[in-house]
Amino acid sequence: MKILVVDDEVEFASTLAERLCLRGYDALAAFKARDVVDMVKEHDPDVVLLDLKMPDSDGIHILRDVKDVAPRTVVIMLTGHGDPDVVNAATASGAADYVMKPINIDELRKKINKAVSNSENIDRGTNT
Amino acid sequence: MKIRNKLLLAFSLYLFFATAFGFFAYRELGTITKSLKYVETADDIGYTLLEVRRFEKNYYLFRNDRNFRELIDQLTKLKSMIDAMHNEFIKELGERNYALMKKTINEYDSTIQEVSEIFTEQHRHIISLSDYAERIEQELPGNNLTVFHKLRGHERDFLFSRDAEAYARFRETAMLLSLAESRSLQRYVLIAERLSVLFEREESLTESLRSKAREIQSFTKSLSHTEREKIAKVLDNSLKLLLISFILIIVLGSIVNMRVAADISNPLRELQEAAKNIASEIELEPSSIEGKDEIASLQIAFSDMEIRLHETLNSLDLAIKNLHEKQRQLVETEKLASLGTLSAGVAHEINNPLAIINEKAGLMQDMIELSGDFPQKDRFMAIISAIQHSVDRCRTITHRLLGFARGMDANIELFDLHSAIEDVLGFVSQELALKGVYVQRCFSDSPLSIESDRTQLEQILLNIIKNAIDAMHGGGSIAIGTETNENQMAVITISDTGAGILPERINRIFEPFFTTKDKGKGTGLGLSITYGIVKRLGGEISVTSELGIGTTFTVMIPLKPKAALMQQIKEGG
Repeated sequence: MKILVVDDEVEFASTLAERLCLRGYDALAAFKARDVVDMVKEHDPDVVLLDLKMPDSDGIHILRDVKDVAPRTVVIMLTGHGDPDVVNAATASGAADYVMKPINIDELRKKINKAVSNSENIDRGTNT
Repeated sequence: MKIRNKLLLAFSLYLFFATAFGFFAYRELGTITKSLKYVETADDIGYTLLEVRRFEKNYYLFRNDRNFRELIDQLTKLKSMIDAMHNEFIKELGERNYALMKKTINEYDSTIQEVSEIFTEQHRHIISLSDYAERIEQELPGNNLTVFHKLRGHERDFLFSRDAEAYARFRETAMLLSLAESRSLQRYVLIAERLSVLFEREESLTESLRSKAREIQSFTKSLSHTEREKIAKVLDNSLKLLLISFILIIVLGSIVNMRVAADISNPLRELQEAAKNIASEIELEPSSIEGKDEIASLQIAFSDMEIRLHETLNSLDLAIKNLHEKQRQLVETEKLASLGTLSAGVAHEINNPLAIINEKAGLMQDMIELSGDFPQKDRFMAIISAIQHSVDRCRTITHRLLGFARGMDANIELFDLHSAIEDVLGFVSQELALKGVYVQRCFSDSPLSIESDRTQLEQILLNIIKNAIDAMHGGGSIAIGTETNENQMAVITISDTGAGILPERINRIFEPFFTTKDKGKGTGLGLSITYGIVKRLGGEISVTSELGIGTTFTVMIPLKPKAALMQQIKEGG
């Protein structure tokens, strides 16, 4: 499973990506909002872990851009505060779930797996 | 001009009138007294003159010495009276008149002296006449005697009537007798003739005496009359003066009185109006002040105003106190809000490095787990675990702080407050039992239905009850009371028998990071979050505490959610 971790905190994004790799995922990291769409196009990840708060762009906008170029990609938002308004907006824009930072890696894995399997179920549902 | 001066002026005016009138009256009275004295003197003189006339008449009637002496005595008295006359009286009479009067009296005196002499001579002659007649009767011959008797008859007539006619008849008869024959007859006829002269002289003197007496009388009479007229004139003038003064006092006095009264009462009335206006401005019931004078009305108006001012001041005091309380609450709320914002900002900033620490520690853990055994591998794992534990604590703090700042979704439902309290007590039953804390329920008539967010309300109660349990060492009791107040709010009081909070700390109890608990035992966020939730639910929270006795939290939550909260929920949905 290919995962793209997007966060302006380089250390966070790269370390999380490395840890996910250690757990058998094909994870890579992006640190700038403008790189995200290109990387999605280039690597076509199954899951994007997207920080809601990026200095050069709003997380919701990136989410929409990602959903535009890759509608089937599962996006899980990373948030510092879990503001319900923002979370609701993200969900409305196509985010599958959200995880609060600092991340509990086991919780994250559960949410990824759940979201992906949900997404696959929907795909199957639409296919049949 | 001051009221005192106005009154003094009015009084002075009256005093002036009274003094002027008094002065005139005194002067006139003096004139009258003087005139009366003159009249009296004139009357005295007149009376003495009358006495003189009376004795004169007596003297004429009896012609003896006693009567003459009496007459002279009266005359002397009259003269001494005239001599003793006061200069002013003389002036009043006129110097010339006075001298004339004196002269006339003296003339009268000399005349009466002359009359007296004549009387004496007459008397002497009459006696000698009679003597001669007796002698003649003896001397005369018979036929002549008859004539002589006839003559004696005429003599008696003459002596009785004393007029010229009777004398002429006497004389005629005497001619019939031969005078040469008798020397006595000659003397007799001569004496009769002398008497005739004396009678005539007496008559003229009497006439002059009377005219002089009348003259003197006329002086006194005219003086008396003049003085009486003067008195009448003065009295007339006084009456006029009195009348004029009376009219002046009435007219001028009325004007002055009215002016002064107006000058005094107008400002008083204005003051009263002002007092009334002030009183009405401060919603004072108008008092019934009819039928009293201005000062009484003013007093009433002022006392009303005073009462009202007192009331107003009291209500102002209360309003200021309320305002201060509101301000204090507002400042508290503002402080808490800004502290919340600041805390949230800090929490958010800390959250990112915390997330990195967490990832790095996680990565280290992953790497150690994947690598083979190496010296002190367990020790490394323990250290990493401690780091992760600390990160977890930090995460709790930052998430709570963020929650305090942003709020949560409210999920409004209708439920029984008492059952919610029981649920909370259920959560902490083990802790209560462990610490030996007894719970006392003072619930209102059950159930107490409330429309609010049950979870958040339970969170509030849980935080407070947990604090209460923590505050009690070695057992105690928690009293939970419920009731509804007139503002349609559920009032929940939670009292413990714990250590209590220091007065200087009680005001800070809802501030984030403020804790009375031992270090590491509390984040200092529980009550600030509780405060945030209460505010979000449209409620109020307050705390009172007494050291050594315990602490009471009072939470008030609306029985129905407020409009703002409903709006928030709608937007959230």
